[in-house]
Amino acid sequence: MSDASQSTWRLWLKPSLIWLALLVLLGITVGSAYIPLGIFNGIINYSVAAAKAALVLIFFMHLDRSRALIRLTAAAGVFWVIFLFSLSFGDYLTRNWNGSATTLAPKQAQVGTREHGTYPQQRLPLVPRFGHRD
Amino acid sequence: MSDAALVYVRHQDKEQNYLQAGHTLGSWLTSTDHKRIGILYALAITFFFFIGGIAVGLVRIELMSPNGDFLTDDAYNRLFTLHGIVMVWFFLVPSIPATLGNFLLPMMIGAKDVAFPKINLLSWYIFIVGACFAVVSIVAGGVDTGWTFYTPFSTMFSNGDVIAAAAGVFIVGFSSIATGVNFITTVHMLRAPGMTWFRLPLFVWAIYATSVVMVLATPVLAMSLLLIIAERWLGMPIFNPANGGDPILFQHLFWFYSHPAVYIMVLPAMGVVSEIFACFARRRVFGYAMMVYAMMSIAVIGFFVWGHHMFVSGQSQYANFVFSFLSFIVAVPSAIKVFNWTATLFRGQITFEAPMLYALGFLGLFTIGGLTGLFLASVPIDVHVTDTYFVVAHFHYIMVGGSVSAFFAGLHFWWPKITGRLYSEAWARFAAIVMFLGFNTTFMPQFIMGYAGMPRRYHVYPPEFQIWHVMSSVGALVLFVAYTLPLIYLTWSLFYGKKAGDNPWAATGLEWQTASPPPKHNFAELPHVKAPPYRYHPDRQAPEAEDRKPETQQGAM
Amino acid sequence: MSEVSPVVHEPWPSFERQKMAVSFGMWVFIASEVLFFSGLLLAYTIYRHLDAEAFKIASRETEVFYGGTNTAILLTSSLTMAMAVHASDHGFRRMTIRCLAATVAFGLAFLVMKGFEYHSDLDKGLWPGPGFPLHPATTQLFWAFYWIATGVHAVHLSVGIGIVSTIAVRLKRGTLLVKASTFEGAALYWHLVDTIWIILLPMIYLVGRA
Repeated sequence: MSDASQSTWRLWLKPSLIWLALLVLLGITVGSAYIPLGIFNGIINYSVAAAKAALVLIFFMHLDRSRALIRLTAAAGVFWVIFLFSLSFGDYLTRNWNGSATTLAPKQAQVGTREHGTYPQQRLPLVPRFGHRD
Repeated sequence: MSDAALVYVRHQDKEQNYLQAGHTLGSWLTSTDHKRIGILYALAITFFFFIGGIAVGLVRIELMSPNGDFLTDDAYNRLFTLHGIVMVWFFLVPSIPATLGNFLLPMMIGAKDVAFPKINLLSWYIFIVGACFAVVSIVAGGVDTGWTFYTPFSTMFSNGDVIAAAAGVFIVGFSSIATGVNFITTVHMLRAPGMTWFRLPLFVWAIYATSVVMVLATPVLAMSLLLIIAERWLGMPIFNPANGGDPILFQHLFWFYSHPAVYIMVLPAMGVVSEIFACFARRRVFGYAMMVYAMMSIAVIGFFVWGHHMFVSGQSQYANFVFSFLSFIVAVPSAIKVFNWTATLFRGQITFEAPMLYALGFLGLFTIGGLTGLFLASVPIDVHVTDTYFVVAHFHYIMVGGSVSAFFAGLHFWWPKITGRLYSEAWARFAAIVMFLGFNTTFMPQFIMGYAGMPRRYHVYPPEFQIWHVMSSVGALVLFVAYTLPLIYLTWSLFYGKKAGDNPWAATGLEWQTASPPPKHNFAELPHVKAPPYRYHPDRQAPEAEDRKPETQQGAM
Repeated sequence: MSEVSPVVHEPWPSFERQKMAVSFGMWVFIASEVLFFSGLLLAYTIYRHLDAEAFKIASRETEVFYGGTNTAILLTSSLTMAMAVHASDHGFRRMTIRCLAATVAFGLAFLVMKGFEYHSDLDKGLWPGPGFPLHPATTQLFWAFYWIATGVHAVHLSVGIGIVSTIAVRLKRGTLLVKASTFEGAALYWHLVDTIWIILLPMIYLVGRA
């Protein structure tokens, strides 16, 4: 049946090391969150998250010994997320440039209105007002 | 560790064809045979095509007069929404991939079935469950948000059953994703010996590109619909400006899917017409490699242009600039394909069977639709024509003039293979011509009135637009006839049509080298591919006038 | 015990091909799941960009104890799941079953902790709507994100638990063979669920803690 127990513990060795690394990273991210580091809190947290995800992807999900096709598929997922984020942020980051009209100013959001006088009254070009509706 | 004793069932005896293998309803509803599943999908989408058609029929009747006298405002809103939702998600997105793709993909690559046959059947059932939700929503009176579900109307103010409609679409999205995963894996892993990537028929490449788009785009739609459901049902304020939410964020998420979705709807059509032009002009497809690169480019670049649906939404002007530029770029591969199809026809020995008529219709109508897309990609023009009938005409030229024409083309082309029967060529040609005429009568006036300012989604309009609306509605009636004719003569052919041989069109391609209808496992023996596709004539020679035999067929068996 | 050969399903010509395909197919599905969650993460990131202060206020109300413990639980479950695949590759049937069972146990533990956490959150009134205890109103956006993200994740985890327990039971009963191609596919899905949680952790629990 199964081999003698020493071969199974050898099987555990590498994955357990990865697991320990993951727990250490968890400790770092939670611990550092309580230290006021300004912008670095975010940087550390997301870098640690990326590192943990990378460890899981590479070692538990076997990307280290996968064929190129699998790696390409994994990369495609990541790239598409980058496309989604970058072009969407292209909108949000440029909304206030050069006084261009914005839909949303933080802390000023009001349904359907904006500050009086800052945005031209816009009518949709063709609101029919012909005849009577029965 | 030997794997000599692999458990593997081999079918030694001469097989029945797939239609004969089991006659009960149960055998159809539990079949994991990709051919039967393709037919199950075909039945489902035909049902929805007529539902969506009836909805727009009522809309067009209403639009014959400038006053709102046939339908109430609310009913009108619900009907055009129904038309959009049903036609996009329950007809067009599954049409070619799930029917023709399911049926033909394994055969074209020389495989016995798709990679995951049980998941294939599951994906049909998921489609049916989603369809049930949609039917519930229709029966409950429908939704009035437009097929685009824009917030905050859909989340906060609409009175229709938005949750059921959104849930229905959410669920069919998973059917799409499952099919996409299946097809991608099939093409990578199940090609017959000798079937290298650049020997694949263009239809296979088209389905592959479509599947990549389905897998990567549909989940984002799923999330956007989930967020609407969460806001409406659980009161989660995602898109509510009073809580700092941004309605435009919904549009970003929605269009991130919905623009690639139009490529899901058009890429398979491009694959179909490539096959048909080659066969009925007896010519190899001009520039095969560029056709492949063009389709893959469309699939990828199509993800970068979604903001062109949002030029007047309040999006940043700089984003407008970027999306407009990218939208011009994405037109280039489509144009390359149009040039290559035209070059394929050049010096060909063209005959005008029904599939070819539909495919030629595709060529012209897709070109018009594509060119008007360029108009819309230009921000200044778009600001003038957005939310008018110009946009409606543009997308109908592509989706109906393009995709639906190609669907009919493929349906006719492969009908002998699928059913083993020949349809009536005279009736089919007549229907194709009626469709072309009816289509243009319906939609060309819409360009004109859209440019003149007729808004979309309005049923009360200034009287000067009436002449165009009447033309359009008459055209719609003609289209209705054109779509009903195939239903009649194709069904008739199932019972009384002449038996088709294995290869009535003398086409190349592995699917034509097996029986019509095919045996349950597609091929009696595994094909070995020795030739590139479309070997209709020898190298560097135009095809001969009388020679309808291909130079080489793809598989040597 | 003699080696039982693995089952090759239709339409696969060989077991090796089938195994490759299960793995590849699951990766393609993973790509789609990544995009599913990314839609949600985009919404979060944009709103955080628009009102970072509100997000900090809102995030402070989450409970790091539950978040951290649950992360540790899920990471450990990934370990046991990875070990189950290793065991299956080597043909160690009992070890595979035990590792799968441990994975299920950890998954259930996560859900139980989540239940307690949800209870605590609801006690504090942190369900968006009238009477929401935090200000400004944008904090409700964060909490909407919290409920949706953790809810969808929990659904995915439950599906994972269902799959893993099913294959464990079938392995025990002998209807699934130890070297089947199924285990790798199930493990990939499980690790995906873990990876999603790894990314959600800093977004939900660690904003504005300092």
